[in-house]
Amino acid sequence: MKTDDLVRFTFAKEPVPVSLERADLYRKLTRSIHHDILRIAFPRTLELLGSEAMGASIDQFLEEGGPGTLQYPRVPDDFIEWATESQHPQADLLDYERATVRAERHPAEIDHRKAPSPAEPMALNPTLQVSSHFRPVHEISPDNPDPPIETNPRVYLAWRCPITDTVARQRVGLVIGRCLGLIGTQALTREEWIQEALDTETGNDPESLRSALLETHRDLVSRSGLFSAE
Amino acid sequence: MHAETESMSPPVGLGFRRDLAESILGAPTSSFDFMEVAPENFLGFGGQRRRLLARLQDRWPILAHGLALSLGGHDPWDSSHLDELAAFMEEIETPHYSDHLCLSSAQGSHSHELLPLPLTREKARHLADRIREISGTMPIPFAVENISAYGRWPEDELTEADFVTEVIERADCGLLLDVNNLFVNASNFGFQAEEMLDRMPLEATVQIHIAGHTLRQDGLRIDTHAEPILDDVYSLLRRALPRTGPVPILLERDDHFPPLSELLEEVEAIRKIGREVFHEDR
Repeated sequence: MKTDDLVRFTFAKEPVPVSLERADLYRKLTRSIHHDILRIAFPRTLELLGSEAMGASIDQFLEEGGPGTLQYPRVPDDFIEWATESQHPQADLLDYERATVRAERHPAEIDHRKAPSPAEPMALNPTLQVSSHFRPVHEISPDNPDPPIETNPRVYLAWRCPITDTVARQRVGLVIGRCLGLIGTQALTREEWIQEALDTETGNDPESLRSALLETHRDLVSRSGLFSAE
Repeated sequence: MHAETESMSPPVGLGFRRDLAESILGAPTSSFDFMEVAPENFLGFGGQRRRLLARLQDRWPILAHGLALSLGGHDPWDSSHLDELAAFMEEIETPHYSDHLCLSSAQGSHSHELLPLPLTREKARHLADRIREISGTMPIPFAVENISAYGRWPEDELTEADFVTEVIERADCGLLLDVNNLFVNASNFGFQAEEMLDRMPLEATVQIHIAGHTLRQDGLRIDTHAEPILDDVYSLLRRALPRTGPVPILLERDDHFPPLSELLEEVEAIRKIGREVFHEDR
């Protein structure tokens, strides 16, 4: 037996002759850690399928090669991939299992995703609308029926927050409004956006503009108006 | 590490486990000198895992210790994994990287268990070649850990200490000395642990691991990291330190987690040995 064959041996459901002393102990230890991680990763599937059926699936997963990932926390992802591609004597059961393990893994998959990198371009919330008015129409009320027309238009942003499913609004100045318009036309990181804005809006104090842009960025990101790394 | 500038005593750290996260992060920073993490638990992950790592980095120096290179195997290296690993090492600023003298994967399957290798000269040469290859991809020094074992191959021709020595000399790498593994193997295979320790290439040691293990009814010792450290294992640590120098010492606990106070008692026991060996308690 080649030493490397020991790896496949440790996945076997039943012991096979191996020249390594106490090889069967290694088989039991290896199988045990995989049964453990998969039963812990998919408690709902385990509950729905029952221990025996879930155990049979794990056995088959191991018999057919086991995990291909060298990262132990990613073994459940390999199990899902196997379940998706595998042929199973009980096809209906496997279909059911495929659906439940996928559903159960979604929260972990989402949590495991890396946060956006500062090197990735920002994106405006796709529902975001921009309007500008010389007349502050949003302030019209019985007490204030005719607010004065202003020299510069007021810029209003409105978007739907994906978390709360509510509409958010924000008023920004004309310069900031123009700067936000840059994001819609180019793929920019936060720093590239700030630099582009400073190059474009040359009539403003650079430090004040940078500070205002950072504050707007932070505020919009926190309210899901803008998707970007902090 | 703290000890390099503040004292001669070895720094003492803990192997980070998520089950211990909140109690560790709630403890005074002075409780530990460093944390050790397995990169496989963080590479490519965002979310909670990365936030935990960031919180650890805010408080302690981080050492990285791997589980998955399968140094004794024959599978080609996963270049994307190695790239991620190198970036991770730079990110956490670990002073060295280590993995185990074992087999864990073959033909694309990963057992996630540390399987023993035949203790032969041919296998030592193979390991040394692989270690040299992998060392060349890393921005920092590389070390190998002696594993615990429950069985031996019939073709064995070297003692474990001689095997480890041959690998380290040929590969020109460091040793991560696990004194618990050494004790477990000495007991499981009927050797004197002290003699085995004395034959190990301790001058190459860059770090030490210490832990407890489980004694089965049939007398076999299993490296579970689930029990307190035995006095015999502390004795091996004391015996090793004069030759290893004040290298970082790591307490490992992977199961049957006790209250943090009990782990801190073990940390203090290790620190006391370090102080005594390096004369700070005299």
